[in-house]
Amino acid sequence: MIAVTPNRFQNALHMSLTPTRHATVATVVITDGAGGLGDTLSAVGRQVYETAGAVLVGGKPEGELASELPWFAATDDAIAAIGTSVEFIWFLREGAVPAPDALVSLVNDAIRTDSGIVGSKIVGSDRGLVSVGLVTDVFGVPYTGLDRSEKDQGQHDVVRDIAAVAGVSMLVRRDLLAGVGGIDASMAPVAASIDLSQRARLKGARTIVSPASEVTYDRRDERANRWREEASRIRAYVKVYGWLTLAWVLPFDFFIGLVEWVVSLFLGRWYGFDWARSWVWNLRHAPSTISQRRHARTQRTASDEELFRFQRRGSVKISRVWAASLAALRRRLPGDESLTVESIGADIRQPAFVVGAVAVLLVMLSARNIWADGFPAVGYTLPVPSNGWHVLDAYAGGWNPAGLGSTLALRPLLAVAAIVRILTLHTGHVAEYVLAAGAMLSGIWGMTRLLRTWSVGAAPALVAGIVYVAGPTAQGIAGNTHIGTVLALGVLPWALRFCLAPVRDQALPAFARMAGAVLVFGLMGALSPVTLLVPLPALVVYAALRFADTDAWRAVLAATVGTAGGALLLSPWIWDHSFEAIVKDGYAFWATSPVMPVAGAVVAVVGVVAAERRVAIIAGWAALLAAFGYLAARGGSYGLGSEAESVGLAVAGLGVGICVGVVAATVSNHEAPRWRRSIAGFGVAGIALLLISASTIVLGGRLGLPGDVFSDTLTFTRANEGEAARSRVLLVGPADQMPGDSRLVEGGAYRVVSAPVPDLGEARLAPRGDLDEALLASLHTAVDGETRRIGGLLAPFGIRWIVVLGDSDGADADPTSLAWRQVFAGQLDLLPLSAGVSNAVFVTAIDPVSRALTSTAQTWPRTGWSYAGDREATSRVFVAENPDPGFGPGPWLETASANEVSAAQGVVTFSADGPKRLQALVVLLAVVSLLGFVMVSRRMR
Amino acid sequence: MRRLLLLVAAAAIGVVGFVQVAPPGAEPPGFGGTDDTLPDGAVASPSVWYCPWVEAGDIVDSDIVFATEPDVDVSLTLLDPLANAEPSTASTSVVGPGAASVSTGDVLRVGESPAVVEISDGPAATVSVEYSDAFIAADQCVVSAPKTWYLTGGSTKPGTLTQVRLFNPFADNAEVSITGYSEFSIDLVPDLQSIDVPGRSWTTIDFEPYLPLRDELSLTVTATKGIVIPTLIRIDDRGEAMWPGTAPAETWEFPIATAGGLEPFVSVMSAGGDGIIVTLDIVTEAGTISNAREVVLDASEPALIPVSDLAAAPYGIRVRATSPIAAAVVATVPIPDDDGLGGSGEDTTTTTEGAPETFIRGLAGTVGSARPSSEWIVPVDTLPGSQTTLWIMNTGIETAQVDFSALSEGEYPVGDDVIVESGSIIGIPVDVGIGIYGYRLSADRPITVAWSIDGDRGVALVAGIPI
Repeated sequence: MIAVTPNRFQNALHMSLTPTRHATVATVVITDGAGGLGDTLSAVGRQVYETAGAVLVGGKPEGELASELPWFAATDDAIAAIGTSVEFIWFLREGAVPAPDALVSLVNDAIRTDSGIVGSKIVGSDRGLVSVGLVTDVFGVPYTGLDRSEKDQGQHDVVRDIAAVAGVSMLVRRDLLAGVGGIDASMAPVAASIDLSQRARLKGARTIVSPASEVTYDRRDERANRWREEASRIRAYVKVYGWLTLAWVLPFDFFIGLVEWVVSLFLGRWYGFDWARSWVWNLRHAPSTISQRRHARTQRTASDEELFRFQRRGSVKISRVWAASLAALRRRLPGDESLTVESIGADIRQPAFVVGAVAVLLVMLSARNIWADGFPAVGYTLPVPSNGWHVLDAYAGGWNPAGLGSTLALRPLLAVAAIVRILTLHTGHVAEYVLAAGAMLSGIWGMTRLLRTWSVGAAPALVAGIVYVAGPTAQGIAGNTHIGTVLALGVLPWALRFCLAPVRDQALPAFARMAGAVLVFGLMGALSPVTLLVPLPALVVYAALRFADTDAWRAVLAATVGTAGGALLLSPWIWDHSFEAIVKDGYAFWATSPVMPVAGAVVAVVGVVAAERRVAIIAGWAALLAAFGYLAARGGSYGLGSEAESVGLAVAGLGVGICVGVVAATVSNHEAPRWRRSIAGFGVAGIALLLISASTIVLGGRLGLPGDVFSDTLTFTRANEGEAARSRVLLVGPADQMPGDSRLVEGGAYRVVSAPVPDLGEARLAPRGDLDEALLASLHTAVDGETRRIGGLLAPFGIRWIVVLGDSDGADADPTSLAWRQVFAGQLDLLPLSAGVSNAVFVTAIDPVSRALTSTAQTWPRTGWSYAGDREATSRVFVAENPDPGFGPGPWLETASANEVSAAQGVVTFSADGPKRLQALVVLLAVVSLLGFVMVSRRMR
Repeated sequence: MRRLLLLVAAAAIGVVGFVQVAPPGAEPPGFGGTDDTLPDGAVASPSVWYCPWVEAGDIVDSDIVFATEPDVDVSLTLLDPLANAEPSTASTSVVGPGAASVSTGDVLRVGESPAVVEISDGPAATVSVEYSDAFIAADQCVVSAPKTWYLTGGSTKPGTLTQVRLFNPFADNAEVSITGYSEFSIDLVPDLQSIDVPGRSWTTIDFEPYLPLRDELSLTVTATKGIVIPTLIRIDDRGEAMWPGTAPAETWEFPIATAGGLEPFVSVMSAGGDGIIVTLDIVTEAGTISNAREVVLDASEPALIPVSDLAAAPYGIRVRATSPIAAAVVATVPIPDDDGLGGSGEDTTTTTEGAPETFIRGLAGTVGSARPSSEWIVPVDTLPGSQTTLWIMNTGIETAQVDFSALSEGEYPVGDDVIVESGSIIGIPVDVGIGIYGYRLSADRPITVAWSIDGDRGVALVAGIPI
């Protein structure tokens, strides 16, 4: 039986397929000014399922056709104006062109499946699929599941439940719409439709896609509205999820957005403002969101699990970022094919792919223990401070905590590490891993890019990169524990590449190149200041060898600008320090088996002899670099110190790496004359040796850095709760076993560190201050045997423990360790610790001992890089740091070569040095400006 | 050509790098050398004195006596024999020049409790005196802490016990090796090669089980780890004596060797050399008997030289050697000879039927002074029933005028002077019970000073302390 309701006319062809009950449908066209309204309205008029009428909602339309229809600014007003007999509302976006049977299909499927919301299949005018319903991830990010170029061939034509509809064409039951509170007018279109679907699902309604309902709608550039979609997306899930779900979804979403922002920077996109603006918008709209959330979750019939059923696993954003990164990487590798499904099979058969995979695996294995444990505490490699903000505050004119403290600027490496720490949300050891693994990957990648300058292929370049970041020289640097130089290995080839890469003869690219060079040089100098001195002379020699090459001299110019600009970016540190002093500190002598230098020499000679003439000159230049680096690494007799040794090794590694690339390229070049390839074959033996040596870097899982020493050595300081935060440790013993710098008293090395383990901020000691001099005097008293109560003399410095490094026991005892042990063994107010300690450890019998002690003998623990305790209105607190008027709250007094300040506020403050802070802020501004300029110029390109 | 030049240049630079040599190893620091065995002396700075043989209980009492030139604060720490018990401390101030005595029983009365005396300024010096009704033993406390100590004058002959107390007042655990030297040459006992002495503790080793029946027993105590303060205790049925370890020296002076009718011996041991000629000069109140006795000493065998037959008491002894030696004077009750020639001529039998005979009580020993000095500070003690005598020896070739002043608690020192002829000794009795606990001596020529106490409890000989 066919029921025909008055005022409803149906196409007879469809009558047999339609349900017995006919619905009344009103059409709401969402106008956004994007154009195509006339087409949309025409298509609505051609529908075989006649609608009860159409209204326009949104932007005020123009044109004759539009003026004939009622217009409303808000959806709610429009729906209210529609007659009460209407059962369904059909929402169409301006520009959508539904097929004539689109509506009837929607209505049929809605009634047949008893669904609350039904969406159409959206195709482009080129028949490309735009949407066949959406799933989302748990964060509400929509996912179509379609390839970008996927054509509609009916492959998705099945009616099914979906998380949401695209919002281009959807049919909504009117009573449902009223029950869920209507469409959120504050939201962007896609997010609003997802929001509506989710709220409907909470009430028990189904959301389906009806592929038979086809709507033509071309994709539009939504980037202008991106932040609004982001903000709406957050608001959407906040409305529907339970508090338990929100407790983890919100922070994860925040973090993922941050990651997307940071990674996208490297992909030439800038999402920072969108990310920040979306969260700020949600903060501002939190009251209305909470109000709507209450409405959405009241009388719900489904839980969060019902929503999860229609969501995909993982994060859509992370997947997109990952895919984009891979695509970007692929573009930078040699080969013209883009990363498509078709090309993958060919790719994995390429040597470059295999070597690249090995390189990535090598990095992952080589840095695996840093993920779990962070940087080992040994020598100049110490854990990154736990709070990045404190470090940045200290770097920008604040208090340097090394030893007994100073106002000397911290190394810029600390600022870089702090920024990474902050960007990784202070999560575990992620910052250290990002730094370490990132540097290694960057080094390999940088070497491939550098060698590409001379048309060396990807596979030989990757081999060269592996030798460069993991070979004997890299392991030598790691063995020296100069973590800054280890990290700078990742930037050095980029610095050269930025200078050497061809640039177009236009002003903007040229300036962008200079800006990029300044940034790269600045980063390199920040990680290892001495490396800043490497590129310019290296490129001068390069240009001299290629005298007629204007690009080479342009590279010298870029290096000059980069060196100067990069040095300025090291402010305020650079004004406090002298490169000469850094270069001469210690004694450079790289002790290694002769096998490795010989292997390097063989590769260099073969590279010069066997390579094609143009590349052979490059190999000769690289051999010269390697030789100079090797000499610097062993040039202690010329006054070079240990940091110069590390930089020398970096230069040697760079030179050998380039030679390896040249030799490998020659061997693998089947078009090269046989004699060249034959000679190059000799170099393969050297490369094999270097690669074998490089492979050993995976054994420790710490990039070749030695194992942790001080975390274990000083574990005992954690035994009594709170003591570590209140006390210092005096380390004595051989200088080469100290964490970072040390000082001497009558030939014996010593230094003071924080418990439970010194961090990277404590590696470099400033010149002695007054309190340092007082400590030196006390130690003189002890080593001269003039006191038997050194514990009492050390207590004012906050020193509770004394640790004798090295073997101080038995026949094989180190003479220095033994001498120190004798000093402290003969003291009356020290007690030995024997349980659970690997070294000779003495603890003072004095009580209380504290770095900050009030006049009422209350001990204030170290909180971050300051001190805090209970407020004592009339008391004073004595701070065992070198005296400085910056300490507060006032009045400040210098007492016994230390600081005395008021205890009234319950915290010790330090006023940053104004000029230094200003310099740091200017540097920050400069970095942001240069970065912005480079990115903008890249996008313009 | 360019390639060749590049290769040559790189090779040349590489070769220069290759021939570089490693830096010389870092020199160890110049401190921590406690192997330097310096004779003790009072220094013009804060000092810590270690007194291992201190005891206060039901029967035995000890006095710690300190004398000082400047005003000082004195802190006395007595270790507790109970494990993990906190040491007991007492402190006092002494107005300098002055001296004071602390009865350790007033601070801690739990038996053995070695003491550490910290004096805030100097010159100052400390002695310990341990006594009961049946014995008195005393000698200087020590202020230096060498790694190797020499202790001479022990014996494990029947009726005589020799013990060594190893006192570790410091934080670190100590590991000690003891080597014995006797008339049977070197005595290496495995059990004595590695003795652990935990920090803040002491241990006492009786040599009877290890090295029995040694008439002469000298020891070297070497701390292979940490530091210990050893002292030698000799006990027989007539008394008890203790003296600290010493450093070796080529000259030793003992201003008094005879007291209370005891028979003195000089115990010497080589510090390593063989064929050392040891010569004894006897210095009496009337003059010096040079080269009174001479022995040749080998590294492996100590010598116990009897000197009672060389002169009538009182006298002092100067020991000269061709290489460094350690020396101590041991005075025992004379053993009667069947031929009637032995001992000091006094009756040493305990009783005869029905009536008590003269009973000489005592066993004394002391280390000497390695160098004469014109300035001395001498803490002394007096006890009822005992006579304390200050002894000055002048081994120089010129007469010495000695100004001396008594040091007491809080009172201004009473001064006097005395002439000590070249090559002679002189004894100055100290009144008992008038609060004098020390002497400050100043001479125009180098002299050597010691003191003795003898009486009902026995005899003790105590070396003075040079400044």
